[in-house]
Amino acid sequence: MHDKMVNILLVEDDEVDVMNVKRAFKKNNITNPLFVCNNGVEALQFLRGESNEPISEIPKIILLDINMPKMGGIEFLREIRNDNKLKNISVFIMTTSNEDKDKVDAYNLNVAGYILKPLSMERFIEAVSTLNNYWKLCEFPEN
Amino acid sequence: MFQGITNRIYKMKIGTRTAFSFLAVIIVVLAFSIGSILLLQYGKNIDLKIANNFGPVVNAIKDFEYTIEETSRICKDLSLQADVNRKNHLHKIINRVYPKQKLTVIGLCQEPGLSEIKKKVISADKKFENAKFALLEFLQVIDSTDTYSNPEKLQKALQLRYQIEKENLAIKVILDETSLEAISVFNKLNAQKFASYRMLSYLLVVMIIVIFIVGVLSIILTYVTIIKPIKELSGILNEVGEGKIVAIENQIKRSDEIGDMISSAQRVVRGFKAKEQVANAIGKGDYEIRVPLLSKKDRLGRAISEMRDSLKRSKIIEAENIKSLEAYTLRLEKKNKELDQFAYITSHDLKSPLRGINNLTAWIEEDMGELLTEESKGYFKTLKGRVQRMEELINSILTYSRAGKTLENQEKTNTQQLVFAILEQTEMKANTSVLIDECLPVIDANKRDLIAVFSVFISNAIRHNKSPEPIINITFKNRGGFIEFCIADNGPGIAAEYHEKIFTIFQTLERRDDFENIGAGLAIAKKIVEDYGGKIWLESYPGMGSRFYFTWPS
Repeated sequence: MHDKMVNILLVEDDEVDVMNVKRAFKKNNITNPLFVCNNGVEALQFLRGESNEPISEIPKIILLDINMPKMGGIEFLREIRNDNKLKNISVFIMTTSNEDKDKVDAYNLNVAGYILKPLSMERFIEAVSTLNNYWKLCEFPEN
Repeated sequence: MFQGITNRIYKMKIGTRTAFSFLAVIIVVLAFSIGSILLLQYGKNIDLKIANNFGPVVNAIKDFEYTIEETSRICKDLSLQADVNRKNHLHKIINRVYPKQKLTVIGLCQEPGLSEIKKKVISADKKFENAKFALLEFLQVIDSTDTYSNPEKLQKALQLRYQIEKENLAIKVILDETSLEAISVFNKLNAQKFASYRMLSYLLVVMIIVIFIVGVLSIILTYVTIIKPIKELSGILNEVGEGKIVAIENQIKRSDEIGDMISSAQRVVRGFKAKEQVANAIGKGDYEIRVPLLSKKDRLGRAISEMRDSLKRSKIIEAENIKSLEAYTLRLEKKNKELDQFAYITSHDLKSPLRGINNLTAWIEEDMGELLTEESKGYFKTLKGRVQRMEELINSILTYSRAGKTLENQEKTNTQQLVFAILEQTEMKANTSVLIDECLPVIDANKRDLIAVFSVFISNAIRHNKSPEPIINITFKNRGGFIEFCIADNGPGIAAEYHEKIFTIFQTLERRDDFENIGAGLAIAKKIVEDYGGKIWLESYPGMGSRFYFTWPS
């Protein structure tokens, strides 16, 4: 398949949820480099190379929470869709918000998927596995 | 012409009019009376004339004629033999009787109608003057003693006698004519008298007719100009008395008392009409309208004005009340929304630490693996169960807080298809039979709201049913503006004391540990149904199954 794994950025404020994702990655043997930002502002800084942590390559996939302090998921999404360098990133919403408004706003901003965080660990691992299969299947442009 | 007269009549006061008609009647009666009296007087005069003049004249002429004849007779007697008495008598006739009679006749003939007779009598008298000379000569002739022996003298006497007779005869002819003349004058007078009496009777008849006509005319005039308008007016006033306000039309300009009365009544009606208009305007909400006061004594006007003011005041108060009620309602609605929002946000925010607990629990269990004792494993199981229950409770609060009438996507919804779709996705025990009314109706609703309501009833009916052959019966009825749905089951039934309680959120009839049930479904269904304006209730007895009803606007 791919020699080079695509970078994945997780934008999530809840520590347990971050752990949860990491754990699920581990369980599914997902070895893609995973970067974590705790809110939209941080994530934008990271993506634009303004943060302390330099990146070799802009992540192709973002797992995005909606309800976050400072800058929420939808606002962040609007920012990157208006940014020429960032607008082609595949974004998967991973949230607890079951609000129709959030779903409509997200899809209007071309998200690749909207996933409700399941309560149980098993189902979350399953969901991450499905995602992994999906993005493994997809071809991404080389930088 | 007639119009002119009536117009002139209407300009007069009734008193004047009555005085005029009395005067007219009096004049007519007086005229007729005077006419009658004059006629009567005229006849009476004729009668008097007849009695005083004509009768005596005729008699006097007869006497006159007799006297003349007597002279002839005496002369004849005296020509035959001497007779002192007769001689004296003749003297007496000539000197006294005749002149007296002559004077009487002439005197009687002074009446203008008797001038002809007088002339004739005078001519007869002239002839008698001739005869008188002959008589006097005759008396002289026979006066001497030898007359009857002296043929010459006798001859002379006879001659004179003949002359006298001849004269007398002529006189007699004249007197006869005179007599006839007098009679004809008398007849003429009588005829005049009768004519005047006839005239009198005609006059009476005419008078009666005139009085009758005047009477009839005055009755008609009284009816037309007084009684009829009064009747009409009283009819209208009766209607006004009954509350109907009719305009009084006054086609004729009249300045009499009836006219005054009509214009007074018109004023009354106009006053009422104005009041009616004002009252109507006030009734329609015009509280600024001016109430026209007829005078300082217009108590009704003042009462309406007070009513207007009082209505205005209460309207203002009412408007304030409505305003404050509206403000209150708005505040209440806002509070309710805030409450829903609060419940939503709270439950949403509760979820993420809960998920954290859940994850951490799972990881500890996973990482500890075989190190855990059987007891600890049991605790972990219960812990996970409780966390799950808590998530369900939170989810129920979320659903409940957002349940209600969804304003978007209101459409014609076929409940038949909707119920079938729900049943397809519902797990059922074997032997479960679901009976559905043919052609459940199409109603206006948001599909998801309606699915939420039906799902609650159908899942409750299935989940709580412990009968070996569960039966669910879904029916509906039209209830004037609303459709009444009924979901009946042959489940355990619910005691009457719980009929209210089961619609309260998180109220369950069994321990959650025994029967995993959150107890939010009916509360959510009630919230949705009531938000659509419907009602929700049940009929149930323990052991007799339950019949859940809800109504939905059709």
